[in-house]
Amino acid sequence: MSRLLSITLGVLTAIGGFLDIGELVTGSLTGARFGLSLAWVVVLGVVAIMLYAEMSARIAAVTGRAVFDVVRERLGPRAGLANLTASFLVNVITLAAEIGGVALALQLASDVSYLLWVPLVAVLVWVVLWRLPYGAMEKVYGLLGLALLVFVVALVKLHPDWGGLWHQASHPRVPTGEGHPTWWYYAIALFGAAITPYEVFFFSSGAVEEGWSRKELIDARANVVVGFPLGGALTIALMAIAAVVLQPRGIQVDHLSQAGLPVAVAVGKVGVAVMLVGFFAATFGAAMEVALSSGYTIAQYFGWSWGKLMRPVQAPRFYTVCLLSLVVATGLILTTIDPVKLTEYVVVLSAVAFPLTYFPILIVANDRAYLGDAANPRWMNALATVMLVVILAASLAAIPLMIATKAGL
Amino acid sequence: MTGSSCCPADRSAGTIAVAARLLVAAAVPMATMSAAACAGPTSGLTDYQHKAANSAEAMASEVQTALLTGQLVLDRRVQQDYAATTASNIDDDASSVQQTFDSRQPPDSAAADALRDRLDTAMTDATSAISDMRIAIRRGSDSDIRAAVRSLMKALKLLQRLQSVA
Repeated sequence: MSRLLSITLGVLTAIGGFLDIGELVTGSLTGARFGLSLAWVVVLGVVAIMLYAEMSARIAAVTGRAVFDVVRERLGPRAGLANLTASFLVNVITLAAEIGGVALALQLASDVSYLLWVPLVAVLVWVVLWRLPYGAMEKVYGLLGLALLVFVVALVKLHPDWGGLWHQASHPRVPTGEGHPTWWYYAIALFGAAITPYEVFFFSSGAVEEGWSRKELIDARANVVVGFPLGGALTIALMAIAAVVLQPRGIQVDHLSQAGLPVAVAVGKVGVAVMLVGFFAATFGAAMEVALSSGYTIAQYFGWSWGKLMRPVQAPRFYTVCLLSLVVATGLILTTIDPVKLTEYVVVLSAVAFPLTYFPILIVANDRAYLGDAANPRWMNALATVMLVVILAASLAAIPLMIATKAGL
Repeated sequence: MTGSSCCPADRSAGTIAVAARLLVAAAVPMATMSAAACAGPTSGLTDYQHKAANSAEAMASEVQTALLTGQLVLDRRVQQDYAATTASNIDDDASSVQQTFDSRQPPDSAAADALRDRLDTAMTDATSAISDMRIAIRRGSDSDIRAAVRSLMKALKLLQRLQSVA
């Protein structure tokens, strides 16, 4: 029973961790613009994050150390620093986008400007990080994040042409009037949203915090195999409702409010209320994960004491980094930069840093000195290498496509 | 938790150089983002027509959002606060689309001037109708929302015709 509960909680965490402001914005935006022709990217992203999250969890469970700690030791301080710098920059910008996402969800519920909500959200994130126990934090936002199942309910209630949607997804092609560079640019954005680096740092550090050992590897794999695909399915449902309701009207998604309109069409006020709870939970949960990831990466690199399970007095530098990240991210979003635009940019920019994050994980997961008989099997190496090639291609193409398409115009 | 004991204090200047290169690498996309946000110059009539069509398409998207939101309010399928926020967002965006188009320098030709006049009129009508919708939603007046829907439908027809000028 306790194992089932552990898996269930892990699944909820994986859903909460996968669906954040990046998925909400890019999923709806691409669905409204390209239909389901980019659904394959979500599937690809889910496979990639499953592979690398499983490797991270395995490294943590077998060595008892988090990924960043091992990467720094295995590849040396210079490679570790490159990984750290790229990941930390992406983390801080992602944190700003998530805080903006929470504030936007609150604005939709209250009609009070998101800028007034931003400081309150930042304080709330900090209080929860400081006071709420780890398990409770996972349960609360994981369970509330399930409210986003309303996307699936909305899709069913819209009575779409299922055959047409399947055809779009299974025969991907660039819609009439759209250019190939723009289509590929948004493919990278979707891919970037799916495999944002903080997810693996949080997952592996959480595994160490909860004291996972080889025995818990089954739970870890269950979380990965069920949780991330569920998150991906919700993203595709979001794309589908945008394709059904927004695309025929030519509505381009520039605001979170537009992403929710199909739910209002299909389910009405109750659906909108449930969706707003889901928006809040997904973005708030992600904000906490990203803030913690910032502390994890820095503290693990420098060999400081770290951990959410530690009291602040036991890990002062870890908590200071979390707090400073939160302050910088809050300052960034208070410059009045549009949180949705920031999200669109950060999911593409994070793609540039992917190889620095994922290549070291692959190296360590293959090192028998660390993992012994738990090192990657051949089939996993083959699959992970293919994914790494995709990640590298996305990384190299991201900036040229951003320039060529004027950031997706 | 405690990480391994490797001390970072003896890291050479090389590691700082790596960090500096990464910061520069991060600055490039930031600059790209800034550049991407600017309205580019217009080089000729064809280019101007293309940009006019894009502007008409962007404005039509705002009009369609306003229509959908208004209809959802009339059908009691969305909360007042949600609808009001949506309406304010698209009102701001519509003004921005019009401002961006108006800031473009048209090429020196009668066709470009005529196109500019037609699109400017359509955009002004659309922006005004979207503002009417925002006001009606915030006031909770169904009759005003219906009136705004009629104005938006007219503006949409004009914009849809102008989308095909490119």
